Amino acid sequence: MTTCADVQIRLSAFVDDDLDWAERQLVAGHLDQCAACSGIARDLATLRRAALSLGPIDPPARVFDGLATRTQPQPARSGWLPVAAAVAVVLAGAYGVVRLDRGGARPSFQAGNVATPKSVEAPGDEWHAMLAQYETAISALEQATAPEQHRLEPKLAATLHSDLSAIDAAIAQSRAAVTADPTDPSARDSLSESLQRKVTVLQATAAVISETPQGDQ
Amino acid sequence: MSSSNSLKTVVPGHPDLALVGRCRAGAPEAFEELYRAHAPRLFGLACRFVGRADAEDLLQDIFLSAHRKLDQYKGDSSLGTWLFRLATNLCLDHLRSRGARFNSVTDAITDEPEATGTASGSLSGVVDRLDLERALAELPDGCRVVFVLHDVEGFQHGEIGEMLGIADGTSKSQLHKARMRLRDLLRAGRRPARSDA
Repeated sequence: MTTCADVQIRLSAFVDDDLDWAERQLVAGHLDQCAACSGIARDLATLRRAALSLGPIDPPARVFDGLATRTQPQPARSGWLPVAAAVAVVLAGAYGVVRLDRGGARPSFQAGNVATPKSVEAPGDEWHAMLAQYETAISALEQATAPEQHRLEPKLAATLHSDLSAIDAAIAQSRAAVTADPTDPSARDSLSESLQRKVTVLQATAAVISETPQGDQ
Repeated sequence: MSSSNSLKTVVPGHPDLALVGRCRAGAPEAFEELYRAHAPRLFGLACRFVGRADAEDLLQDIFLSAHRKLDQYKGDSSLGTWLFRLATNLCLDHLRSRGARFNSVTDAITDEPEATGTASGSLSGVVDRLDLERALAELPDGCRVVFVLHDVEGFQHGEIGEMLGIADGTSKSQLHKARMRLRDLLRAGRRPARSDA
């Protein structure tokens, strides 16, 4: 004779459909006749469904803020690519005069020596001056990193190439939008942000190359 | 969340690999993107494993560890699975370091709830999520971990056994104990003092 204790110890497996056929028949037969055990089985099934509602929990913003601070990259171990360093100095100077980006104080992971531009759009002349600085920096970084690309891991090189292609497409789109309406603030922001992103990726590329010993690939 | 994620291999060119590549290259927003994508699930796990009070610090530790170990990610599984395993291990380490309660997930629940199962004493069919979170926090560490991994995260007993270093049968037994205890707590309408997750 099957007792309630025999059945109850199998109820979790029963609601999970994790019993073999014979045991399942045994439990099912008992549940048909026992209100107490069938009540428990219903409760366990309810609990199982309720557990599925326990989804992700958004962490408070302070967790990321602290994390961002603790993951700031250390300065490069060795001075690679004098051009890249010079570019960083040029850009740092440029940002001292011209500050971009509509964003607020959202934390971000910094790379290299160039701070992520913040703040509001610049007046016309300054905006054009800043674009020129970005383009100078991009040109210098491209010239500096191109001969060293072979030092990157192939997967990483492919990823960076893909990122840069996407950024170039965004730059082209933004340029077209600015040409169509030179006063459109969102088009101007988009162009400057895309250029800034390209500088950042090229800088990151330079940083990775600088960390990769010659002949490491 | 299906445990089948753990079997998935990321193919070359997969966004996970691209994201990790950008993180490793130091792209400013890449790690933030990784954090935004995965932090809520891992924070939920940490809250339920160790409690809200410790979960924030633990989440930082998880992502710091991930940041340091990104070069070990080769795409053998999805990035989410890789991070989840990393987080699970850190959560378990935290529980072990917290005291003797988690010396073994075979910890016995000595006061097994008496099963009455009468209609009037049954759960209503819908369990409030917050009530369940509070009741969950009341469980012994061992069976709570198994319940979270199985019923919340969707892992199979074999996978849980592998993660915790226990037999499948032990995982099943702990799950049953966890459910029965939760049922008892919820039916009693208790409001545990421990902070909610």
